[in-house]
Amino acid sequence: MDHFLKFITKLFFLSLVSTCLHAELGSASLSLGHGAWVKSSHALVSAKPLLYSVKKIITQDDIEIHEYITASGVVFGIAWSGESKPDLAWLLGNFFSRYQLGLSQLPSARSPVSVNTTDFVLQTGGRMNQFVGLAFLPTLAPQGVSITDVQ
Amino acid sequence: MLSACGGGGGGGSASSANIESSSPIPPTTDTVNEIKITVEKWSASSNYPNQAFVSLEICQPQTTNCQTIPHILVDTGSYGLRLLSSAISIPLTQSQVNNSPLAECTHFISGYTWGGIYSTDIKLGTQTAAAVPIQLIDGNYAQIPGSCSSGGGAAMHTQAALGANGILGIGSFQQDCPGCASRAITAHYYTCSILPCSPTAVALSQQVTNPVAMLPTNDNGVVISLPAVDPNGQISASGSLTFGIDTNTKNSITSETVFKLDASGYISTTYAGRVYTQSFLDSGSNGLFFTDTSMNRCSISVGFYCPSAELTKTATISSGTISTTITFKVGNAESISNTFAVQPNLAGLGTSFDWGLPFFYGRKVFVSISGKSAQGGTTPFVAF
Repeated sequence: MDHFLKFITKLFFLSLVSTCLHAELGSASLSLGHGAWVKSSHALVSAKPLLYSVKKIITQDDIEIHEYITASGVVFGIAWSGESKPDLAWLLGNFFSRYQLGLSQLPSARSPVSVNTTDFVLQTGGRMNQFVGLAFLPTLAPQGVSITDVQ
Repeated sequence: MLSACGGGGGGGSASSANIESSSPIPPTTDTVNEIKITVEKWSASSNYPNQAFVSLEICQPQTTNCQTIPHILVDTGSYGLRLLSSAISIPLTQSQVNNSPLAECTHFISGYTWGGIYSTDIKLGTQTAAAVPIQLIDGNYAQIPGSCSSGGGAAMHTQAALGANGILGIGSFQQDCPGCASRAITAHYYTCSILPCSPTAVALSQQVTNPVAMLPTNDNGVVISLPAVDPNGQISASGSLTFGIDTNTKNSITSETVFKLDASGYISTTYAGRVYTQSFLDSGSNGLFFTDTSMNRCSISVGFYCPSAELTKTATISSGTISTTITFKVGNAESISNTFAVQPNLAGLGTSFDWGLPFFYGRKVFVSISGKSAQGGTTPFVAF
């Protein structure tokens, strides 16, 4: 029953998504546009508060996501960790196809996916029940911020 | 210079600080039980380097109706046996939860497997693990849930995609989803009496289980022994997978150092001044994966390193006050001969420090199982 209700709630929000704020990497915080997937969200202390803020999101699937957000509200970096992998189509938005391209270029099924382009950087890792990854948009990140800030 | 990651043969140049001395354990009389590991390229369609394989015999429970399946990947990064359904010819019975057939979505580093859960007897060398829950990988079973495939990654439902006939998960835990015992977690277990299949909680006893933990004896872990190899690579290599730790002369910890794993199964690795607390030894990863922005990345195999000349690097593995420095080589991933299954210098980019199969060449690596006891230390631990 609980699952059924969750499913109905999901459907309801899916129907709203097109009218919602665009919320994904390169746009607004996921906590603004995908309420059904977010169990909780709160601000973390930023290491460089003048340059960006950090928001911690726990999804319904207990995946922890850290969003790195510019002063104007654009998410330029995401780090995730969890027992499952997050829905990357949802998380990466327009950049999902770039992830898929990186995946298709892997020489084997035994190695992490990574992408290293001028405007989109992605690294993944982990093993069974423990998956981690991060995505970073160098061209949207504030000056003085690098991928090593995203954790 | 014969060792893959070390330098000198026989286990690498470990310049160690604070090494815990482990006194030789008097061996018990348990029979040595081991099977052969082969690193080889064996099929035109399954051509990944650095894959360690074993053959296993599985049987319909409590019968002599058995079948041997070759080329199953040895994986210390996962738990439990998964076999391509297409490779199975003996009849097996699917497990049920609440009278509904049980299936699983299993995510690995870059792909996932989907399929039903079945019970089978598994012969590990001279011993049998009875009625072990395993996954039969089948992309056509029921309907792959959207929440399974949405994590991205490749579907590994064919021999070509999997690069093997199956995966033998013999890492440091007994079951493959402890968290699933108390709650349904997306992209793990599903019941499939009504489509689409829906996420379900599953008791530990019904979860896909590390078969070593279900052996009558020698059930506290494994020892993976691979020979030192040519630093430039070689066609193939063979070694052994020994069951049990400190149960006989063959699997006793003697000169090796014991590293206790944390609750999540991690050790710590320090590389280039950065500490990776989520580091692990994973025979199922086919390279060493870590972050080094100073090294050239390959242009085609973008996830791998392609330095113009071979580089020698060091990293320190630690757990508590125990630490050891590992020396390893990083070669140009695109210039290594494609005919070589053994590529000891293969390395690529990863977020944590993943010590893949190249680490295992020239070493004897002990992987103990959580919840079991071993004389060499408190489980779970690794030793090498």
